[in-house]
Amino acid sequence: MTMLLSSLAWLAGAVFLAGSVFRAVKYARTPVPLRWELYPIPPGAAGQIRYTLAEILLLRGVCQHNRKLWLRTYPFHLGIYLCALAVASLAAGVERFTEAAALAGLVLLLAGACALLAARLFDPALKPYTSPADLFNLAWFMAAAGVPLAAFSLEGAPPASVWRAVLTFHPVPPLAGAGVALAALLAAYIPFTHMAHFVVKYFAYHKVRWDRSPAPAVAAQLLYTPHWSAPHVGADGVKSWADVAAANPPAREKKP
Amino acid sequence: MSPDRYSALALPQPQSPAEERELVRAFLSGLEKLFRRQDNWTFLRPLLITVEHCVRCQTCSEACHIFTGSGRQEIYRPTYRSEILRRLYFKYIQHRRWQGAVELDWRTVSNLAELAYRCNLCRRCAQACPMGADNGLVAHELRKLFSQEMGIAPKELHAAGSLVQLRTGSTTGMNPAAARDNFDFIDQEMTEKTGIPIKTPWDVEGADVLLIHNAGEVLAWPENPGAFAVMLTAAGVSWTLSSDLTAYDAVNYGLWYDDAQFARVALRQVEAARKLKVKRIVIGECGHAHKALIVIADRLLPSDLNLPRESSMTLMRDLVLSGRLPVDPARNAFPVTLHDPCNMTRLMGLTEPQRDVLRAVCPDIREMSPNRTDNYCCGGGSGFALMSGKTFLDWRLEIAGARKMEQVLAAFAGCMDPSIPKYICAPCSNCKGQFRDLLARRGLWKSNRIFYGGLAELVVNAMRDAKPGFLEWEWR
Repeated sequence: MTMLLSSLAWLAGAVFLAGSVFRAVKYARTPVPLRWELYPIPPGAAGQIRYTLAEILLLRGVCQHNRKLWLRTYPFHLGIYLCALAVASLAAGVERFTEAAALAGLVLLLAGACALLAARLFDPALKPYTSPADLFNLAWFMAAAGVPLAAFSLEGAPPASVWRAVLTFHPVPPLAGAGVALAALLAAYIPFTHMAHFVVKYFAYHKVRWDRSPAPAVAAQLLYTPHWSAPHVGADGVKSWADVAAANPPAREKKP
Repeated sequence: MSPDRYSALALPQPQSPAEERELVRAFLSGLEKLFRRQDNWTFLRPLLITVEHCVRCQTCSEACHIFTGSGRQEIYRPTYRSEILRRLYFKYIQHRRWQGAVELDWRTVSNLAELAYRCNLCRRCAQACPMGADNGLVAHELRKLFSQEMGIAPKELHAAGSLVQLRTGSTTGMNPAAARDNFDFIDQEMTEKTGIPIKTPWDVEGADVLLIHNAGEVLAWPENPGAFAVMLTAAGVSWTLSSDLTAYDAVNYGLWYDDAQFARVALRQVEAARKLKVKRIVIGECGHAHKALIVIADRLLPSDLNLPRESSMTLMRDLVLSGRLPVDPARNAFPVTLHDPCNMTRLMGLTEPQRDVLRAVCPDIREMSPNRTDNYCCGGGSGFALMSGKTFLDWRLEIAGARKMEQVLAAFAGCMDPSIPKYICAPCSNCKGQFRDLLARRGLWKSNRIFYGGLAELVVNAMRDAKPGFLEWEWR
């Protein structure tokens, strides 16, 4: 069982990384769009880095435009960051910090997930737009944060110590093990859902709304063959985009 | 069939189950193409980002002037139409069922077609989105699906719009000869009004500037292209107009609903400039024409056609601030507020040149709040200013234009007395059309003397070398 759980944890980490890369590659391979920028654009690389950091660390956009949601989603995200920091610091030999970060992270994550789930269930602006997948995802986060906290309380298993044990192929108490399994499976699942926005936001900002650069790749895309059916487009399944743009069917029509 | 009591498209109701099925089949066919790189490489990346990653947190809702201006009606929430498209995408393209229920029948198709025309494409919602999703883009892409696959588009934009422009040269139906006649008339008017002899140059090879106006100005507000002719003549600029097809009309309605029509018009405009060997193209006071030719067309143009393209805002700033056009701001001694066209500001970042000009020629400027890149759309954006339909005019004046009128009235607070003339400076033809209709609907010219017009008119009204009284304060 120990081997199985430890393998699952390592495998989940690998799937998380591979899934994130897969998603990034998927978006990187989408055709370069026409320019579609949105202002203000932070000036220079330093400005864009500052903007991005504020967005990641403080969720500044939500804070500015939707304070009510920020009060729910910021603890949720901060909880994730602290849990990730705790796992990342396992090998650093700062055990008290690691344990504190893990505990604080789990508490914040649980509180945030509960608050977000309540909003999804009861807020009239959110409820009609909430899918079964949204509820499932939030419930999973609640379980992945709540079970390790329950294990800490009932089994006396500190969460960071549990993770250290699992990652080094040592046994852990059953409830703590269940918490690890839930978190590992969740990590492996995230890149294949809309929750992978940590990858996609790079493309949304740097490759769409802040991107004013020339795009030589468009020359090849102009050779794509469109298949739109409306007669005025004049797409016949053979003509390229460039041919369609160069044509002027209306000029040949008689004036009605 | 419409989700509200208004209609932009006046789609006929299907007459038989076979027609209903055909409508749904055609929509599904277009939906597939919307997400295929061969068919929709132009906007596939931002569309996928939006459809796959919008979390429906509704942060964008309060940023939308239509949602808030409607009293927060659900169908005008920026995510409303996007959510329908998102569910259809997951159900019919991705074949994933857990993303929310949706039924696809002719009513859904018909409602989506109308809902695509309940958004000004101003993208204020996108500005507020922490995910980088763009619900304005969704409306744009839906319009494309309906036009490019099903041939469904508002007649003002397509049948009487871009098709006419590609056939005759201008969406107004003016052919080159008619355009020249109209400009001859404008030249005479300008010469009389300003005392400066004006003769608009046509097809001058090697000119520094090819100026392209929104041709609607020529018919509705001829004093605007006239004012440009006065400024450029008085400043000694080497300039010309082109009589080539589409090159004397800067508009490009395809920007709002159809990539093919967009590319066709843009290519012909720059082709005319290359033929004349001009040094640069300058776009007159038309917001969407700015964004169309300067920004959106940029990556479409091969290097030999990618000529310098510039805003008339920067040209005017250069002429005024360099002293080539001596001005006396005392001639504009009345309150002026500046409307920021979304296409120039939020979508191009062009916020200061027009303010530099205004500060030089007007002593009493009242900024709206919010302004610049945070401005509110006038409600006429994305072609709505041209569209009236059966009841569409009511919608764009009562709902889409509500927030803008609140802003205007707040800007002029304290000077609403009709003895004080007031001027909304809207350096965009479509915005001017919307302001004309908004002010008329509310009677604000008659009751409070709130007038509207462009920026060039204010410059010429302040020019020391021109006779005073260029602005006539006559409602039209």
